[in-house]
Amino acid sequence: MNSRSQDTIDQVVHRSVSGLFEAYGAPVAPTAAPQTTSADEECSEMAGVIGFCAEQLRGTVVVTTTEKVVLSTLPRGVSTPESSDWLGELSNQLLGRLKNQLGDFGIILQVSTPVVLLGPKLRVFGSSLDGVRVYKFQLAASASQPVTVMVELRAKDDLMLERVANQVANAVEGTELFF
Amino acid sequence: MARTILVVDDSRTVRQQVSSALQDAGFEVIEAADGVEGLDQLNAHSEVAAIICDINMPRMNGLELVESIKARTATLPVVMLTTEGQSELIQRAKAAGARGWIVKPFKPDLLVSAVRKLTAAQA
Repeated sequence: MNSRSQDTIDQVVHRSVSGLFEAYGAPVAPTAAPQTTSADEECSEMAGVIGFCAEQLRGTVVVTTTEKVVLSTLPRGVSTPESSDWLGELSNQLLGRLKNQLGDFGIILQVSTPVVLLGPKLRVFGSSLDGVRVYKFQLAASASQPVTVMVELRAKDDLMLERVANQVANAVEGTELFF
Repeated sequence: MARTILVVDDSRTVRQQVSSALQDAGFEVIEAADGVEGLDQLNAHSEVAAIICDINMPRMNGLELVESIKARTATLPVVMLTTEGQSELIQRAKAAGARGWIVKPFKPDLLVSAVRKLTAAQA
């Protein structure tokens, strides 16, 4: 994948993460440029993991954060909060945003159902893996609450992301259509 | 008498969110965690007036559920509530008999309004 395509993926991930947390009333801000590994010692308590594949690529999205962050994004009306379930759904909604935006480039992702990992010291780790990109954010309201998104992406060497012309527009988040 | 809505989503949190909005608006709600449970609930509750249904779920996904429902009760309105927005999927759901498509995150008042409209038209 060339550097322009990587830049496009970086923009799509940043837009998707920011848009998702904003939509749930807990805006996040990036704390670093995208990295190929997580070099610091920052630990999280929860990780949402979800796989995807398409004709041109396949990979995994991992969202690590704290329970406090997850609970801060809970929608109204949830009487018995279950943070692991909600992190799985957040991961699913994040990948949905990635999927909808990558569709503009002719990438049709198939998405797995999410898995959530719990542990006292979870860290994303990518130094020994090819195709890993780590995106670091923190809650805008609390610098001590991290949100880290790792995208492990294995693409065909000749993949170049180009916007597909004359494509039927995808429905964006919040859209309501009735037939 | 309150209309009964079946909410099918593999996220318990989303089911609670949707159920809360519908119950606040006066609907009865029953829930299912995937398409297979959704069919079981339909078999057990003939009073269901509409279905709110996710797409990506284990065992039986939402599109398979809609296709299965259409074969049995073609008039039961189904609204897809999903992270998916791709036009091909929307067309497939429409062809299978879905009456609406909402991309998460959703606004509870708009969801309630849609369900009111669909169940009123059915009454």
